[in-house]
Amino acid sequence: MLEINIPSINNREIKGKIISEMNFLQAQTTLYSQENVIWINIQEQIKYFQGFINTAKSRAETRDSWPNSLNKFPFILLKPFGIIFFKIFNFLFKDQREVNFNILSALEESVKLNQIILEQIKSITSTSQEELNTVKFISSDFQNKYKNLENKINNLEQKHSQEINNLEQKYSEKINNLEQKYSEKINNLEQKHTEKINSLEQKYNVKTNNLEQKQEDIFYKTIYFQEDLIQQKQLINIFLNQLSGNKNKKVLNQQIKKIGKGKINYLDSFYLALENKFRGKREDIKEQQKRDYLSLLQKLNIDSLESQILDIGCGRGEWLEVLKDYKYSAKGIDLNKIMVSECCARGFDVINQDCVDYLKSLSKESLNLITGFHLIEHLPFNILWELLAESLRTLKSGGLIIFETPNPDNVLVGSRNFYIDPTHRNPLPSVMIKFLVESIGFINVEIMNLHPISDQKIDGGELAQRFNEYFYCSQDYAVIGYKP
Amino acid sequence: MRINWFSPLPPKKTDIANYTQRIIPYLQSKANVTLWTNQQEWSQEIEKYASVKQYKLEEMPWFELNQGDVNIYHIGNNASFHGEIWHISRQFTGIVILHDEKLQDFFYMLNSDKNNYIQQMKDTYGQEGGENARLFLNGHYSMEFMAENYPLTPLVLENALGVISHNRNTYLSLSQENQWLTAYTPLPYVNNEFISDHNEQNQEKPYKLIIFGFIGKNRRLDAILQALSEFKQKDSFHLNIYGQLWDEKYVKKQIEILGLEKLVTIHGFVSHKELDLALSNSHLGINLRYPTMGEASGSQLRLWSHSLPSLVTKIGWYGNLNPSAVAFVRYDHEIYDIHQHLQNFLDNPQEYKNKGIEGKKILETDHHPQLYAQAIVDFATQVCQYRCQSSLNRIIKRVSSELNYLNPNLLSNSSLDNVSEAIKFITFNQKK
Amino acid sequence: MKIVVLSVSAPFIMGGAEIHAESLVKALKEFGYEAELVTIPFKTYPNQRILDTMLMFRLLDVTESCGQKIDLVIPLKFPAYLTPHPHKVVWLLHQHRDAYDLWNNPVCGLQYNPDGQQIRDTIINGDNNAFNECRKIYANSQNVAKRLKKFNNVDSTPLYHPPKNAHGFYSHNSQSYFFFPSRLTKIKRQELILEAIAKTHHSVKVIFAGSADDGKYDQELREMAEKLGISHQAIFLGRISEEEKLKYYAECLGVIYPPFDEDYGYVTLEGMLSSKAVISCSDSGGPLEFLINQETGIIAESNPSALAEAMDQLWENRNKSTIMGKNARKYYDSLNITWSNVVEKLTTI
Repeated sequence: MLEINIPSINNREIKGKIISEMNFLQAQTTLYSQENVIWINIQEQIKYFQGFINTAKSRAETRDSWPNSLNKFPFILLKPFGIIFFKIFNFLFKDQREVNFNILSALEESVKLNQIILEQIKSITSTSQEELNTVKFISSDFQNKYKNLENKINNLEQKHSQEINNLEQKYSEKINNLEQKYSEKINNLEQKHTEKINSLEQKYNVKTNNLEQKQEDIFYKTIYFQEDLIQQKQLINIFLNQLSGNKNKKVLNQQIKKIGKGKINYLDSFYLALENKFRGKREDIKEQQKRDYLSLLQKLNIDSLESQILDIGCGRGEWLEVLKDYKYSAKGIDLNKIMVSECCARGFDVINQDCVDYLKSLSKESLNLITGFHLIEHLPFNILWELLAESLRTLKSGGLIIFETPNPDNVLVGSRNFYIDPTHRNPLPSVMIKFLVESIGFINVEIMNLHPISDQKIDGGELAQRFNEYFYCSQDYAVIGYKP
Repeated sequence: MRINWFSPLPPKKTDIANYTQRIIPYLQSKANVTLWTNQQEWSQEIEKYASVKQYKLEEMPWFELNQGDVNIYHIGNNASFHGEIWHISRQFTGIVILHDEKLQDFFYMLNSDKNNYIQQMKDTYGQEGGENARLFLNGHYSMEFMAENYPLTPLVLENALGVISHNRNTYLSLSQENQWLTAYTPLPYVNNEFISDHNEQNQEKPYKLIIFGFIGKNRRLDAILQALSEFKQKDSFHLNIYGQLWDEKYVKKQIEILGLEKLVTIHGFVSHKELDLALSNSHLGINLRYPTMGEASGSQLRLWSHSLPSLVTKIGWYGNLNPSAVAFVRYDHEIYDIHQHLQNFLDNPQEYKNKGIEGKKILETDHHPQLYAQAIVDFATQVCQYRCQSSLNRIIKRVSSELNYLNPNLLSNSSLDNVSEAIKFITFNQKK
Repeated sequence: MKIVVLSVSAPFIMGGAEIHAESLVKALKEFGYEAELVTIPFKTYPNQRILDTMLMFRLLDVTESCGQKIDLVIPLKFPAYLTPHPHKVVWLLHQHRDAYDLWNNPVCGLQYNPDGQQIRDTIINGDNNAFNECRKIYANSQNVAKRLKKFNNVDSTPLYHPPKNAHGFYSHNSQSYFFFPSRLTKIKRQELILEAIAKTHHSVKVIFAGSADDGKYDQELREMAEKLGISHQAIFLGRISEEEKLKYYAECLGVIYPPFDEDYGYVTLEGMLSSKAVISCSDSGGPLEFLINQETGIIAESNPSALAEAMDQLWENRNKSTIMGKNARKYYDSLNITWSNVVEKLTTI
């Protein structure tokens, strides 16, 4: 596919072209004539200069005829001689002519050079002028742009600050409104609350009074029951005494012996009550024991299901419960019947037997861990010695003993708190126990100081510090040792 | 018809060289073509179809050139390829085939002494042109601004007898000037070497995007990369870049910054065969261009020859393409439009495939080199008949200068009647 | 009737065309018309000059002079026939050959310029338009008419005219020399003859009369003759007077005139008027219209050997040459080449 367009040119267009071409030429000539006067002057000078050179040149040529003014009679007669004369003349001035010629050539070249330089200067001037105009234009353009930008920025700033003021106003208004509402609401709420609290307080006071009342009643009842029990025990004792003096001793003796043995156990219930009052809550004990001993237990690396652990004097079974929680299998042993039955009721494997006898009944190296919490302060020294010896025998290699006991380093514990339990014999200083355990044959024996009374320390200088050290340091310690 | 054909030849890196290679076999069957070049080397392939002669600008063999019927000069925007050709065209009037309409860059690069460039601007656009040329040289105006407003096309066509453009808009605007014989014919393209079978093309993701050729800043690669990185389903696509980049380091950095290393591959300059293979395996071509120098795109035709749908900027030659054969992108909403098309492509790939097929049809009907060769010969014949009219300008100049000398004020229309009649008598063919 | 003969001139160059124009004017006057020769100097270099001169002629107004109407305009050459006139009768000597038959010929000056084609097409266009305007078109010779038909598709009638001073030519006994009167220029091919002389068996002598257009060519020819070793056989007279010319014609053995594609060729007619045989070439154009090979002269191939043979032939056979010469004269007379014929044809519309 091809589309062609043939230009159509008629007379009118031709004329138009001629005219425009002429205009163009005229524009050029006017441009030319507007040239700086200086150039024109210089041009004239050069022409003038050239004129001189031309004159000089013509003068420098060889002379071979008289000047015309001498062409009349009688000088014509001298014409033949003239030729000779001129030859001599020319010969004499030959060098001069050469010099003249060279100088004139040099001058002419110089003039030409001037011409060329003139042209160059003209063109350079016009070019530079145009360049300068261009740069000025660009610079003023930049200035304009700059001004515009400045204006814009100023406008923006103005707008900006205006807007910010507006916003600030709005916000402060809003905030005031909100504050008002808020404080109103708070006042309302406060009122409601105080009303509610007052009503609750009243209710509470009423209830508390009621409870106190009941407590008093129960207390008095308890006293009554205690009195009653004591009386009954007295009666029974009288009865038993009477019986023991009877003759049907065999039958009765057996029964009496049984009961008599049971005599020893009448303190068991008392002991349980004592424990409940002074030892502390079950959960707290468990937590404390976990904190103190769990890491040691885990370091032993024994298989939990097949662990052979013995807790001597397990009491209420807190440690046994901890072991159960951590899926270890353990046995407990205690002389207190009621403690034992309570433990069994909780599902623990506990026997009621003398610990030394029991240990003696075990084969050597059969236990992983032997523990006794607040046990050894109940034992006479020789039984303690036997207990430790038997423990060493029955432990497997690497097995562990832990015995916790109150710490007499604490003055309050050693002088007062130790004796709250009447079955405690005497405080056992940790240095002595350590020495004892080591002597038995345990290795890596350590004393762990536990349970300081940190919340009752006093502040002050050196005196306070010393005081704290003796009165508020650890209340218990545990001795640990390993079978080699 | 004996034609002297002035053009860059392969292996020069310009599409015009390839264009000459394509068209010569067809042209040779209709006319006797001699190729003229100032290159030291050219591909042997082209010598199969036409004899190649070397020229030196300082010693042009006018006698030999005059033995032909018409000279055809190929002018494009790159002064290193076309500078000498232009100089010849100024001296020896002939047909100019304009491959680019806006030739600011051509003249800028042609003159090592920029004062010449300024003078040319003054001659063509007056004092204002000179001033603006200086401003441009001092960095105040961009090349795009100068190209838009001062394309210097009349200077290129200074002594031309006729002009052929592959861009219809250019043809129309040049015809307005009423100074030369003008013609429009679509750019020819044929690719006999590679016939891909698109039906068997794999339809699997990632869909392959392709951009190729001499990739300058106006190919909008920045925008393309940006658009791709912001597209949510970008992993469905992979972009292959073939050809020469204007600044490879910069592009690599951009790809890194945008995190597109896995989605974009730069292949560089490859052989025709390799590029054809890549095109046949691609799904969507990208042929954006802004600003445009007014050129018709050989790359677009190549895309169509592979029945590839493509994204083009709706401006210049591209703006007039049949919308059923291309996907338009607006030059001021590039990223948005690219996203639209990518999304549409994922939703409805058949629609785009159809565009490619339509493009191939158009290629075969309008852009066949056979038609083009015939068009050239037809136009050349017309031009030969018109040649006497071209003396018009020089006679007018002569007359004007003489009249100016006599009396510049003698400008009444009637006084010029005789002269213009005489001029017309000499230059115009009265027999119609 | 007022008649203007319009032509171009080249100051200080006097050639055939100039003589032709003067003779025409003289003849017209003799027949009682008022006739004037108007010429404009024509240079063909630089090329722009061609267009300028075309324009100049087109702008000329020869329709009247001082209020008196000019009835007829007879243009003779390019670009004179571009001048507008209601009664234009062209007697075409030749067109601007560079644009026509000399195109693609190494001697074509126009083709060495980059604007050659453009000028050529303009010339052709101008010519076509001009011929269209003419009442009648006559050509100087058949050769010119053929060219006109071939290149411009214009029909024309050949119209021969006698050379200057036709009555003055006479014949004497032949001496031993050939006579080659003509402007010294390449297209007349003096060089060819020099080469031919070198090839002749007999030591033929050729006298060249005429000066070089550019003032230098004669020196070149002399040098060439020396190189060929025939300096004593090739005599260059330079410009000679009319009388001398008539004498040389009358006493020569034969006339040599081998130009390249000449439009007319006075020399041929002058030779015939002098009852001498004429040697010419097969591509000489005009002369061939008057030569009958081996009867009134010899037509040879345009190479030195053929010409040498022709020269030898005449040199050897003096008798034959004389007979050929007499034949030539007879033939001339039969052709009615007279000015009255010319004037009649031109002024009858």
